[in-house]
Amino acid sequence: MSSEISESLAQEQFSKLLRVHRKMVFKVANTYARHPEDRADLAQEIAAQLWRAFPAYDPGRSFSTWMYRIALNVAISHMRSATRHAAHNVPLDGQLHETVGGHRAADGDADERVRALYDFIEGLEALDRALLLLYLEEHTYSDIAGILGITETNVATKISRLKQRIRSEMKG
Amino acid sequence: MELDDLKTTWKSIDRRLEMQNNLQLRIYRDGKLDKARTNLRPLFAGQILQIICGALLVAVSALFWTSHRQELHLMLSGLTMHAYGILLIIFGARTALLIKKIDYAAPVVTIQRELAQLRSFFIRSGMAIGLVWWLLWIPMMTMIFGFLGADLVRNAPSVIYVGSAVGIAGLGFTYWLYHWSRHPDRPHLAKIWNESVTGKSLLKTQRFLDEIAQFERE
Repeated sequence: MSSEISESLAQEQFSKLLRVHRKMVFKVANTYARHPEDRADLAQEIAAQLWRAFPAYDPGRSFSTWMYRIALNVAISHMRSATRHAAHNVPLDGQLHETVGGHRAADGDADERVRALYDFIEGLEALDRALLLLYLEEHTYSDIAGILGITETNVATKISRLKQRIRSEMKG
Repeated sequence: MELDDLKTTWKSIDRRLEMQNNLQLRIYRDGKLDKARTNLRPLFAGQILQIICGALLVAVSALFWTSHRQELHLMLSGLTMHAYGILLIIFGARTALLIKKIDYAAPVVTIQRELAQLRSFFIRSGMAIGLVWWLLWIPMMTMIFGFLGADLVRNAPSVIYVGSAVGIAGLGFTYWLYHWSRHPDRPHLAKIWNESVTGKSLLKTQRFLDEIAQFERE
């Protein structure tokens, strides 16, 4: 009985946290999956894995860092698994200028920029995608280093290389 | 375009997400909280099955060789299958432990490397377990016939001789073919190997391990 109550409390607490941070889950899913159905599956998979890991979460530590680590790990594995089984071989079509919920944006220029951004992301390796995502989310170099498990110097070097790459690949 | 310009675009996605009131994550789908899907679950189940098969093989083999100590060839057949059973258990247990060790809340690079190493070990151990059957069928058949009261080695030695020769030749041919096909002069054969299920998986895993190492190094 008491374990049922504590599980119900944990569920409630987790649901609240997930509601607050749900955009992060969708952003990670958008970064690693292009097909709408695949994105939805990945978002659910991340949520499920977060719930599984929740009992081991230490409230004294940053929830956002914990969540990013899990979400990115699930997303990278999902991306690699999808590639391995060639089950989600979606061409680089116009799907990603849809809004995340499936509605088209009204602003044509904004559409183009979003499409260009996702096309650029598509060309990155799995770990570079994670780095770019965290940078765009305005995490500090220290946070990024902690989430990815590399040094801050390494983060700085890689961000600098990404900047160069963007300049050369996304002219205009 | 600059990286910081992308931040503005990224924020526009953020706003669009904000407008999506129907954005829901249903972790409680079907009310099966504990059945969250993970890619590793089937692999883990497979390892448990392999351990069970290994344990059964050890038990049966031990029963066989302990009751045939007076017949060297029968005892050796039993011992070989016993050793193979132990190998199944060790490989299965190691893979299962590697799976259990995976903590998705650990830093991304650490976990991705562990996952790639796990896959690499799984593929290589699978190849080892499979390839030995070029020869392993001989002690296996000897043991099965032994349980039925027949001595395959004594009654049909030609099966053993021919089988051993074919097995050794097959094993050697597999080894040679692999190295021969990898020669730069034969890219089409290398491609066939690389595009086979195992070759592709191993290659991708190795590439990803290299990618991780490079990501950490720079």
